[in-house]
Amino acid sequence: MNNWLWYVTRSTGIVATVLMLASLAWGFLFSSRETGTRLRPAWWLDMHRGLGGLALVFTAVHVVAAFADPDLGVDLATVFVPGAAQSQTTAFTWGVVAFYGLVVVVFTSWPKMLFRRRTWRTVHLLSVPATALACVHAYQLGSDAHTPAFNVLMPLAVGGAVYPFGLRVWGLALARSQEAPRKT
Amino acid sequence: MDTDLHSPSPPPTPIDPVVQARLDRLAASRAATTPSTTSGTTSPNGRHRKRHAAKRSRAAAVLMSLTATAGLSAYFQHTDSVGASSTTNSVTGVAVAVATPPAAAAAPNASPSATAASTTPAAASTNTTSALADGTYAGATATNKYGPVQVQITVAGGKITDVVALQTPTGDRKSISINDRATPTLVSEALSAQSANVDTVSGATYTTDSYKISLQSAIDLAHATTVQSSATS
Repeated sequence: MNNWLWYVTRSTGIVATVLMLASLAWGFLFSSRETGTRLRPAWWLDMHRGLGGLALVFTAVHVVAAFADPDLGVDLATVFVPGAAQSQTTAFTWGVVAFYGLVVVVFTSWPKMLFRRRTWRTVHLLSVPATALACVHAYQLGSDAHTPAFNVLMPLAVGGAVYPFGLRVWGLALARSQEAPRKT
Repeated sequence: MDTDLHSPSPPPTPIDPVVQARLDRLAASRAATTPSTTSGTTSPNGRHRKRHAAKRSRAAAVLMSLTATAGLSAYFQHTDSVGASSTTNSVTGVAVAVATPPAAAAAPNASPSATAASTTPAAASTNTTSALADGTYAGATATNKYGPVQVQITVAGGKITDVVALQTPTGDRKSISINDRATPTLVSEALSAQSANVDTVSGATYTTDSYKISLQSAIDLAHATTVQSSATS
């Protein structure tokens, strides 16, 4: 039995999840201006965009490989319609929704100027729930989700993205608390 | 302090020749190091901006991702091949009579596990279901590298009337999908063959082998129950 599609499905799923988390971390480090002075902001922004695009490419390969493997029973409806999977419906749904979220975030990044800044930022922040859903999808459906390596590395990767997210939220809260007295 | 904005600007002060020479050298070095226009854009003020500020790092990220994918795939293949070579079907449970007719159940020294321990895959294809005691029998749990398989049969009128897979591997998506596809085929084959002599389902070799073992142990138990019943009567 040729299992190479099965191996590609699993490995690209893991790599895509890590890339999504890395892109999120890069983005929040950039927006919170916690990037240090060694590398220019343009470098951080370019890496953030590159990692996001790469995450989308690997997610697409993951989906195509899962669809192409006849043993997995993943049909077109399962890939594109949330809730259409015959079994493990919830886990598949999170994956489909995360994929759509990633597509929207990446494809609105390039024509950024077409949107109002507030609108674009709201759309771009969809990457946070999309990444969270991708992690839940990986945990619920991943064949390697219950291996010791996954249980160690996944929390580390999630922590690596949560830390800059916390920095960003903390920075925003601090800025608002400083703005409030000025307005009064 | 008031300043007259409409007054003519003062004449430019002459630049020191040394400074002018430095500026010329700087302009020349910039012109020499500026890449071609294909890899960047020129802003309105004439300064060159790189299109990809992290070009090398992005290339490194692509390379690392591809390497990680290839490495993980190779690792998965390795663990699968190691598992295939070292793991064989092992019977970890015993067959039990879930529901037997009163005569069989009252038989002294009825030991349902006695037949399960001696069940082997080779025997699975030879034994038939002649003279089975009515009842429901759960086969031994046969474990392969993907997980446990356990089968339960229902015998009525000396024939197998129902086969149910009590346990199948559920460790990963592929196992679930394969078992969803293979189990109905195995059940119908077992019912038509009235034995554990079923064909291997393509793509589900491990499940089929474990299924045969568990099914045979359940059939053996039903057969042993018949023998014990006739001995007591």
